[in-house]
Amino acid sequence: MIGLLTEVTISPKGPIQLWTGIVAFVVLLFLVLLVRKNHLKASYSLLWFGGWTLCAFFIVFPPYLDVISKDIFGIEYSPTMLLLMMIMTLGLIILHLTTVITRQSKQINVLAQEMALLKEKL
Amino acid sequence: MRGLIIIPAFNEEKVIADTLDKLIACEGEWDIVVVNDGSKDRTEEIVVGKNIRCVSLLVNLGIGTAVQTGYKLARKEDYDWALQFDADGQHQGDQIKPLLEAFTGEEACVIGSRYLTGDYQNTLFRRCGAFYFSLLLKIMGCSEVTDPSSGFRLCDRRAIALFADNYPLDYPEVEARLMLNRRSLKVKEIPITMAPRQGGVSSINRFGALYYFAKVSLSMILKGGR
Repeated sequence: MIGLLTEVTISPKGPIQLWTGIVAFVVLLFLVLLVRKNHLKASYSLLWFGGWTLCAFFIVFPPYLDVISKDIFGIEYSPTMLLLMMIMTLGLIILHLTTVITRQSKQINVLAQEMALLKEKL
Repeated sequence: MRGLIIIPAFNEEKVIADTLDKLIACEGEWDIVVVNDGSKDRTEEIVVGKNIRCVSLLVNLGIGTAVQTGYKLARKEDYDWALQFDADGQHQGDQIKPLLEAFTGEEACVIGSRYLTGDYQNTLFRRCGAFYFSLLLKIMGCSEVTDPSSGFRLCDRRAIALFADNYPLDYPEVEARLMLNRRSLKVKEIPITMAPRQGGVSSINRFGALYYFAKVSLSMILKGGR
């Protein structure tokens, strides 16, 4: 399994790059669609676009991943670098989501309080 | 001088009538408002039936939000005092007078302490909790803390305005004290007696205790009463 992954991701010119390229493009297209249809706020899509473009770039062009991974960060096994990037992107998005939830729950509290006070007055 | 008694209530149908009757019997001058925190039982019906104001939150939002609703009402209607009072019968109406008499005009908040008299029985676990949070509050600059989690407290206009704007969400008592201290609002404790709980469940159960310690400690250290 690990051997396969290595071969697949690091092989400099395989047909796999065509497929990963298509998948990456479809995902980007899907993100664009979500924003256009107002199913995803543009501000929230920024992290997805940024993170996904970065990861997709290295999936499609593995030689650059090697440069980053081995020469800059000293990680011998390049796919680890890719996984690290993905995990950090997801972590960032989740952290961002929890801040959004916090803000929203504060807003809900204020709305509910004001509504209760108004209702009692009627 | 006008005062408002704020009673947060969540599913208290078994005890709320008794609590209100006893309170009305010994305290005629204060206005009373029950903040119904999205109860699923007959709490609201009972309160309204007794001709007492009932502000009902549509969904359960927690003790902090419920109490804050009371403070918002107190500020909106320009009350001089606001008093927090438990729905479960732990607090006693005849203790309100000593609380008010303890005001010298300097304090923003007078808190009834169970531990100042020394005869209040509580589990060792809860005493440890009280000791721990007292210590934490003292380290962070509060003085004369013996009952950090007491919800029996009387607030003046300054404290009402502060809490109406900003009040901790869950397990708010300890943090609220730190908030007062941060703004140099004086807090005083006086000895009171509290009855054992008549019914209902504590907002702090055994499994929630760990979360309670961790959340309140972290919040106090990181926010420092902001």
